[in-house]
Amino acid sequence: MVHLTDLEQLLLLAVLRLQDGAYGASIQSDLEERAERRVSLGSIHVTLGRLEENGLVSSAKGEPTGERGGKARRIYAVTEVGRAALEHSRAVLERMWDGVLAGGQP
Amino acid sequence: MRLPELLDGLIRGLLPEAFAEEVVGDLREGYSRRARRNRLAAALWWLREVLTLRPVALWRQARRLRRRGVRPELSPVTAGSGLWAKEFRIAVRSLWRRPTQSAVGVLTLVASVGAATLVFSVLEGVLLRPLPYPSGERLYEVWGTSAAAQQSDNSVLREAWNRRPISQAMLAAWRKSAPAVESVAGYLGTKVRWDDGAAPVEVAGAWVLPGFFATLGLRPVVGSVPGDATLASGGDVVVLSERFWASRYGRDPGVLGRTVRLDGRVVTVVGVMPAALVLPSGELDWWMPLPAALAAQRDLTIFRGVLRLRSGIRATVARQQLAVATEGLAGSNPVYRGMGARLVPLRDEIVAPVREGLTYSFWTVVLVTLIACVNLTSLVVARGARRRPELAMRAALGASRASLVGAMLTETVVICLVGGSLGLLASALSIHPLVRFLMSAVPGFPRADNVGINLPVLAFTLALTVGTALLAGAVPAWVVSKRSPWEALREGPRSRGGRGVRRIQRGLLFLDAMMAVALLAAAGLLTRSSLYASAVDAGFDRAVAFLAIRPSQERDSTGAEAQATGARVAERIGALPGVAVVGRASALPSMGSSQLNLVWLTGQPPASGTPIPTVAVDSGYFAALRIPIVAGRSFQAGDGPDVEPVVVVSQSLGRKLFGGENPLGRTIMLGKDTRLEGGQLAAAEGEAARIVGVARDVRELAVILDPDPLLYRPLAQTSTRDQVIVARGSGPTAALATAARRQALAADPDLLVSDAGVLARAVLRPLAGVKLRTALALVLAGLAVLLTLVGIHGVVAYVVSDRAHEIGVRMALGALPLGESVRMVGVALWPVLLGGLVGLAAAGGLSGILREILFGVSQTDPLTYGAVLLLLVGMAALSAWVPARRAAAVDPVRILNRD
Repeated sequence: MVHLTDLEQLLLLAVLRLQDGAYGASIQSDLEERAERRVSLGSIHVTLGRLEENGLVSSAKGEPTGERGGKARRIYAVTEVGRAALEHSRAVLERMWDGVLAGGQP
Repeated sequence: MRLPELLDGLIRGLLPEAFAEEVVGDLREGYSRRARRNRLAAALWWLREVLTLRPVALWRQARRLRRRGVRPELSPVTAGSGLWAKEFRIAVRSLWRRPTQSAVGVLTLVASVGAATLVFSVLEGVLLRPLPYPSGERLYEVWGTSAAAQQSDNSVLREAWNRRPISQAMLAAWRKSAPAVESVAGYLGTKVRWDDGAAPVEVAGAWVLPGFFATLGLRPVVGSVPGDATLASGGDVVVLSERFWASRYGRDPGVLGRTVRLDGRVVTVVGVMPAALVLPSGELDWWMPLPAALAAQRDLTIFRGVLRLRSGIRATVARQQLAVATEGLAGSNPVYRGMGARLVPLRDEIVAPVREGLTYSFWTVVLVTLIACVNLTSLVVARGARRRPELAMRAALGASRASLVGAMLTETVVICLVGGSLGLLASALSIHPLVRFLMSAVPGFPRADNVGINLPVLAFTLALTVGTALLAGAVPAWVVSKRSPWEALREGPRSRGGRGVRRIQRGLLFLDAMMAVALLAAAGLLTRSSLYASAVDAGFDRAVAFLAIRPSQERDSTGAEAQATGARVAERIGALPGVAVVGRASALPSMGSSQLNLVWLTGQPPASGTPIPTVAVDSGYFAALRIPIVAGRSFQAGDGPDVEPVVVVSQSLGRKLFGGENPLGRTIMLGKDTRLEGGQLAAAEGEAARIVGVARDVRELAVILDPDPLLYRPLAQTSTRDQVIVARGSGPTAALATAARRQALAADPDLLVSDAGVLARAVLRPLAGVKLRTALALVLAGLAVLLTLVGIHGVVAYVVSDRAHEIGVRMALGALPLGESVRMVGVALWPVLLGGLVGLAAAGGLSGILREILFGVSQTDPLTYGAVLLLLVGMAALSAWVPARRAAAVDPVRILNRD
């Protein structure tokens, strides 16, 4: 099974949350607002490219808008493989948290 | 074509196709969303994103995606920005093909952008950044002024009269009757022996009056600050600076509640103030209430004042209210007669020692940038000339003029971006060494820890780089692409624009030489001035320890008693091992606190008197400072209060009073009960004093000025209370100063030691700023000359290769190779010489600006000007000679065969 880094998990979750509106700029704002994490556009695109290369996300060209100076968006979607990898990461984390009490005793 | 499109194009050019469009689109979208709220924040966001684009990672990722075949290429580029990306790639390839020329362009930019970024980062952190106090712009330093200031024609003396310390009574009056003032407080810098059980150290700090902490408005880092009641009652508490807390106690919060012995007074540490607490008096490491004995003396004018204006009130309004309130005090105490107030913004006062130097450097660096611009322009003109055939072909095929200009501009932009980024990198690497140098060159360099590469500096560098690119690129690009394609095509492939281009280049050389000479002349004058200042003979030996003391007013109520205390202290210091001679005086040369005495000739009316700076000295003073007595005698122990008053005059005072006649044995009148009348010193009667000696001139107030006439009186014949003790010994002077301080406090625990140290350091303090300014001016002028030489080299190289054909033909007709080389040097030399002459004329015209900061040398010093011109022309000839030699290597046969 693929092991996802922290940033990869966040990006996949953001793409899932944004549904049809997931592209570079919107993902960046979502991470900033919800995860309180500033990730540069460069890192976002590099990571999305890597996820796409490994088949965890797919992308399609969207519509250009005036706000973007006539440049097209690239809309991302999480694939079945991506969803499975995300579930797996969550299961791993839950297993690790199991038995760790809120007070900190084992 | 607009700037955003140009920038989009550049970014596209950096990125792989697979990512370019979406990234550029994301940047645009992110910017325009943020710009709706705040344009500056949006621009900064954009800049940060561009700087963290990770183009290398994106290229790598794009290659992997292509290999997997996952991502279909986007549709071919749309609109103008795609064209820009192509231009960008063409430009990079074309620059790569001519590495030397490109490298010269890039290095020019690295040097100028690097220097400008460094200077601006210092300027920003030190001069421009607001003080770290809440509403720091409302904080002012407040001084007392004296009507005597108007009477003096000596600017240094006038400045001293306009910076009188203030008293507690003044502060109280101001608080009561100046509604423009929100709060005002006083403090007095001093040094104490810090004894906390570990090895004792001497630490500078300040005694503060009630309201001090409230006026500044800073909160302590840990602990608390003493309340006004504690400050007023002289409570035994002390507040540390963050710096001292870190260096002495490793930021241990346990320091609170600790007791420390400071010069015999046991106090408790109650708080730590943040590093932001910066005052004009230099680095202070502790603050505590004024000792009760001093606090009882309400009219003692010894404090520096810090004042917070009410918001929305102008300083002039407050100043008037303060002056009126001070005048009200004169009724009860004549000390305040003629006194006013003066407000200086706290920030200006803090940065005063370095302001001139930094401002001068900034304008110099602007000129250096212009020189870089000119060089780059010259480079672009040459390149444009080389690309004429290509551009003509493109024009003939229907390219618009704008797109041709764009094609030319792109190359400049690439050079500027590469050079600018490298320049930024270079300055980021050298900023910390620079700050360390500044701090060592100017002791107590204010706010040096603020200096760094931050967002305002980045914005400045970006603006500078883009500005340089536009200035250097646009004009020649337009000129080169101006002529009709038909003409250019007809001229054939060998032509490169010929005469027109050469004329532009010569014009640019002229500009270069003009600016370089002006800078060099200014730097030369500053250097001569600085050399003069270091070499000037002050007339006294500075290698002595000094100790400024203030005997307790309660115990020693009269001058005689205070002097007896001083004598006791001096005696103990004289008994220290290795001490050869000890003297006492009311003030020392260069420390600016001499009194004015009204002096007139016997038989004349008192109204004819002139105010003369006067020092009261004892019999050891002249020997301790090694001031030679050129005629007559020095003071003796017998020159006491009950015998005939005697004086010693300085040589220049003797000349002033008696012209060429021998002053020895003559009698002069000294004003008694001198007072201010209508802003003038006046005395109803005088006492006769006989001149028993003539001392050599010393430079009294500032070593950089001509010696002032100076009158010496025996200490015992005056009512002097505050004394400065000077001691000369065989050991290290700094150690002697420390030992003398300890002796003084041991002799008299009630004594206030207001200053102590080595006279040489105190005297040279004002010179540190001068030296810094000179060093910066020299470095920047050197850079300007270097850039000019690079420009000359480039132009001559271009001319030689452009005129190879003509040279070949001439040599075929019998011209000598050497002669051709010399002719090529001449091409560059004429504009340089002309530019140099105009530059000197400009420097002469602008030298009014320099007059304020020059001394010992005229601002139109012919020697400096001549040397500068000779230097520049000589170096220009050398740097032109290197490429000009190539003319001699032209092979006429090959040239002729080519046709």
